[in-house]
Amino acid sequence: MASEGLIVLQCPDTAVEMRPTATVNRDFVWPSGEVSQSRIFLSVGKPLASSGCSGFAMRELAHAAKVILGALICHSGGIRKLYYETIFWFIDDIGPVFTPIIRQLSEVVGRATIDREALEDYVENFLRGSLADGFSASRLSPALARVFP
Amino acid sequence: MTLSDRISPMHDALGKAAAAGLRRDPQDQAVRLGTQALIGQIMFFFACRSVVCAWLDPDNYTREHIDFIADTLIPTTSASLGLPSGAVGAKGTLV
Repeated sequence: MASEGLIVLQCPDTAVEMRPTATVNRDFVWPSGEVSQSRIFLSVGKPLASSGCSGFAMRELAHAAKVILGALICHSGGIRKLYYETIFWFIDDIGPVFTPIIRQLSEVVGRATIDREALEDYVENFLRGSLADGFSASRLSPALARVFP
Repeated sequence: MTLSDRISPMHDALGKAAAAGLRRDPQDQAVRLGTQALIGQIMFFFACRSVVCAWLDPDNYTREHIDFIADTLIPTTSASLGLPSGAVGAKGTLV
């Protein structure tokens, strides 16, 4: 809920409103909205995936997500809950990627006995697309970044 | 949940594709192993792309390099599934 230019925080569990004080770094305000929530999950996903719940303190995760520590604790309900929420978010996130691939694979497999060429084409495209996706995520070289901005 | 909702369905779908390519039962041990090899190749190029890039030519990495990797790998991977591929010598079709 926004009021007078400030982002007002609504804690989901306690219904306590919080608002950043004037001394708070403006980069570290609690961002409301789904896009910001995605950013938080993206930010904390890597450290949580690499080290689990016990590998990081909430303070580090809040810093990585660029949000106020108290807001992150208030919203997430603790590191374990944040861990599970992040996992569920990633499960939902990869759904739109995996589902069409699985459906198309099932279709070409179903036709494979009468249309083997379709299976060959799909497997080739699947492999080519997978390689392109893998390398497009690379940040190794400026030249590559120009290829896949 | 990750395993049952996302990973297993993808493995099953690829396993059925491998079985169709090899004309075998999806539960066949060789098919299962072939499926894991296929997934392993893809995951390797996701996880170890920095190694691959460094090994090739990291200072001059262009789209043609990716096409080269795809054109080189696809025939061997397809062949392992009993599927011929016309990618040998192809110039790449990445978009």
